[in-house]
Amino acid sequence: MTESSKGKIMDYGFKLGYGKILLGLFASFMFAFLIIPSIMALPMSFTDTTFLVFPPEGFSLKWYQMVLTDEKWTLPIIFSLKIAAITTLLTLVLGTMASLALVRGNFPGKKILNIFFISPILVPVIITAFAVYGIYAKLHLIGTMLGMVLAHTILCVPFVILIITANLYRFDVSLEMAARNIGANAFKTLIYITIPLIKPGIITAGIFCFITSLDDLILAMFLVGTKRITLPIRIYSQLQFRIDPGVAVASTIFIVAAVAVVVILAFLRRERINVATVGE
Amino acid sequence: MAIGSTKRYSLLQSLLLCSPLLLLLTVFYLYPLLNLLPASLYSDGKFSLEHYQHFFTVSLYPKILIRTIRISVFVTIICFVLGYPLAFFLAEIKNSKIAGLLLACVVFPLWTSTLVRTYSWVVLFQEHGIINRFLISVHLINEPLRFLYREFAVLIGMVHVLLPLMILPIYSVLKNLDRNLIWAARNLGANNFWIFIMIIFPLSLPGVGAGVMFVFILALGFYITPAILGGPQAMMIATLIDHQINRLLNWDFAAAIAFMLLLTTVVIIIAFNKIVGLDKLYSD
Repeated sequence: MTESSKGKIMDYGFKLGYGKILLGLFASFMFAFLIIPSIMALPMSFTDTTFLVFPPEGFSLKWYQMVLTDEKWTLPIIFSLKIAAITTLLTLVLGTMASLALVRGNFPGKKILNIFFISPILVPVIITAFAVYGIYAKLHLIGTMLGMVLAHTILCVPFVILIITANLYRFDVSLEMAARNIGANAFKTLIYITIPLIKPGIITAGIFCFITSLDDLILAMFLVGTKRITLPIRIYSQLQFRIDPGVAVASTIFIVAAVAVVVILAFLRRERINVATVGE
Repeated sequence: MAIGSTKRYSLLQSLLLCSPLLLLLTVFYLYPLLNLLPASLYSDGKFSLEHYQHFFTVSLYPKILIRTIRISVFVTIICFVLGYPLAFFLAEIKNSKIAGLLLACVVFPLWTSTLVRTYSWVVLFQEHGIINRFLISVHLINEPLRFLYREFAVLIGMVHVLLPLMILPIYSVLKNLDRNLIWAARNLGANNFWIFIMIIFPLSLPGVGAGVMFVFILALGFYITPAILGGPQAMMIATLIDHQINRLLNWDFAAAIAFMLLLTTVVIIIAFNKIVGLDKLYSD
């Protein structure tokens, strides 16, 4: 495909004319449909009322005060963050290792293994949660940090595999070969050349991991036991008993995290474009 | 420039790299899932097909199954009808900054927890919520409609959550479509309609296939949105499983339902792979 074959389909003869306006209106409505429910919790968290209302009425920080001081919120928040952090670390290590083997190895069953590693996305989480509960109960992993981390690793590793294998497919191996020529051994090459070069991919994958672990409700519901709970469980139980704006405050954590993701990814892309043009 | 996978790891190296993850997944994922089948074949400590019989004879359960399939099909169709034009629109934007921004708008909801987005719909659908207030103010209705705990709310909520997952694969395929093909068709005299039918749509099928499969499978096994927006009246399979486990403590029966859902999911994936060929989509 030549460079000139990119660009608008409409430039190459697929004319829409007035249809363009209709499409634009439709798209605007769709974007509103997608965005508004996603960020609603942010304005709702500032409401002065004692119930959730949109649009919010009044302005008050009292719910922020409540959430940030009440143990019923702060403990789950910290627990969720800890789980997410450790899960991300573990998943990145295991996932990157496996991605390297999947892209650069050549062994029978590679394709099946690839699908197997990615399958947790497609299997309904409630099935996984329910099935895993049995073995966790036998191994006394219910309610433990280790148990949660392992379960979340399984949930998050598909993202890491998908992203890092994509990164590795585009990787310029001659850089590694150059390093070997200078005398670096395989391990040094890995540390000083390979990993820094796929760093954007690792960061992206790490972000996906972190968010997915933070968001998880179902695995946590089954595997976390009764003593400690995670943030999504807290939000969910609040929804069932007493919906007060504290839920909106806790939810803004997710929204802020999502915005941070988009910003970091945009920043990374710009950096990558800069690095690419330096070579020219 | 040597790209990608020209350097080959030995068999031993590959196995060493894969084995930790393989071990983890096998022990804590594959084995438990496979264990669902034997677990479901036991009743009072004896081998029995009772649970499967029970599921298909009590009228409530097949009803839930049919409702789940119905809702999933509708959700998939709506996501496709709404998502394809949007993906087309996105693929057409020339200014890469705006395109990036709008793409971020599509992807952003995915990082906002499903839980958060779902209960935003609860607030929107409330009796005094903004949707009812709007409908009353334009005199379309006189009294607030009860959206919540009905299938309609579940439908809208699920479309909202799953729409980005339909848009992204289609967008990705449309973006990489070779424009010269359009030009060639135009030169040969085809009008818009035929260009779309014969060229654009068929070439976008891998993306469509991936999107449809993904959305349908996720919809089938969805828990959060049906649980919150549908309640016990619009119960779907996943909420049924949860109900059996956490309310009624019918572990073995729940295992039977779970196994059937798992089997269905696997069959659909294999079928889709045969029809659409998902390997093509693999260069993510």
